[in-house]
Amino acid sequence: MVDAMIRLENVCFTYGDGGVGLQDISFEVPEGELVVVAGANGSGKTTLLKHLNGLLLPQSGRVEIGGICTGDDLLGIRRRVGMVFQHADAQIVGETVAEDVAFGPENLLLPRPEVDRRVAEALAAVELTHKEHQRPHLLSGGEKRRLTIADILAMRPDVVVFDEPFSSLDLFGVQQVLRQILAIRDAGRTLVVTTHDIDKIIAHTDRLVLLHEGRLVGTGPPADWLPVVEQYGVRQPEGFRLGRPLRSWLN
Amino acid sequence: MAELDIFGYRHGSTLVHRMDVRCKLISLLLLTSAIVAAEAVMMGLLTPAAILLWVGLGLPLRVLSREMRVFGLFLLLVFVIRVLVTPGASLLEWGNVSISREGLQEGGFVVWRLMMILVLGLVFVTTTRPSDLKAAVQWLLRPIPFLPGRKAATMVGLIVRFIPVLHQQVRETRSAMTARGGIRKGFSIRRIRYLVLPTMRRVMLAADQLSLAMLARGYQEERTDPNLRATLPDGLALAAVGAVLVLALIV
Repeated sequence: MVDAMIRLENVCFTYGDGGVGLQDISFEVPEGELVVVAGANGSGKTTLLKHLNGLLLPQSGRVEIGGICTGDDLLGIRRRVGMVFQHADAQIVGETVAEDVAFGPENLLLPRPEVDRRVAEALAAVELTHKEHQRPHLLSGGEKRRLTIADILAMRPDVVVFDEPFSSLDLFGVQQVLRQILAIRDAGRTLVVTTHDIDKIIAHTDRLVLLHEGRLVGTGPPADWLPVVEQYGVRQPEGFRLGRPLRSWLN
Repeated sequence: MAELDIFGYRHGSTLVHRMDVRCKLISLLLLTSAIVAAEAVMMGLLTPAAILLWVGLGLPLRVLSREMRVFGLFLLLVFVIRVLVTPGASLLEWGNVSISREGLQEGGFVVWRLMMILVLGLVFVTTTRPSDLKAAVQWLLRPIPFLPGRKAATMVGLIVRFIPVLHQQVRETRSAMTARGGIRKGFSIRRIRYLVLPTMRRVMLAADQLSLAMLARGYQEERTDPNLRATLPDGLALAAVGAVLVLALIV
């Protein structure tokens, strides 16, 4: 029995141009939790996500997913950790919606009927079945984001990481993507979501990881860190801001 | 976005849509040979047949004329060259340049043949799923030793995937240029430099992001094989196309 699904130990990463990615990051995420990684632009959120999927390997320290070190089994890690990129267009590989969703299961070498079954299930889960023969670049922004979620669902990963899932979406798009994220969590998967706009998801968050300039400021229940997030370039949720006068009056 | 839809698969359920991609590819090669071998009488029979095929597939004729316009300059160039290099009784002379009746006939006939081949190519592209196209490439390259068929098939798929991306990047760069009072019309080195360099940079960036996304979804050369199955109607269609070729050679 593995107690922590995600474990980072003293992870350090510096980019080739000398830019600091991550400095001495350590934390754990239990299975089935929804974790929000918050921080200003350039705080290392995306670099951290790429470490979880094995796209980047730490220069020192360890990243473990379900007890397996990312450097030991890259392909296995990528099968266990699905990553939804910030820019949906960058993730779309297929020439039709169904082909794009099939790309992941085909990499898993699943038999063709199983690939087709997973594609149908994933498209139904994100309500895109009626668009399966459409060309992805003709979809709306919200639909493209849902397609990228279907891409990952079809691989049935244990962990799903989202890089800024709400950026460039209108209200309906945000609502639909949030519904998908919560459905994934309800299915028992571990989720890691990066955002600098925590308002949209904080109500559903089990744990907040706060980053600043590649360093870990802190991690724990959101209520512990919300009072200080603005010092690190993260806007406080509207509800929390509105409640501040009431809290100070009560105190 | 409609202008990005050229050269793309259009979903349908006609016999041509459902035809096994290998038979379809061989049929295309046989019909192309028939057109190359055909004389005027046979071309007179093949042309209405090709137009009927286009209409029968549920494709509007205006789409055909729009897609033909893309090749307009190429066809004009071929026509002019054939007119100028074909000897015959001179109709018009201008210095060393002479235009003959035979040249006009030959130029017109070559352009007619090319247009017919383009129509067949468009029929193939609009009725063939990109995944089937990849499968056909893989199948064709399989007997050739030392040639990575799977890799080549993936490359074909990615090229098809990148056509709309390239269109979009050019349009966005042009709009950004125009919005800042850039050079709007005409041919100039400066205009090309301002258009080409940023577009290429963005396309390279998109390609880099796409390769990352493919890796994140566990891309490997060994993948689930496409489902190819030829049936009796495919064989009958192939026989009919073979008969057309024989007829073209006889007539």
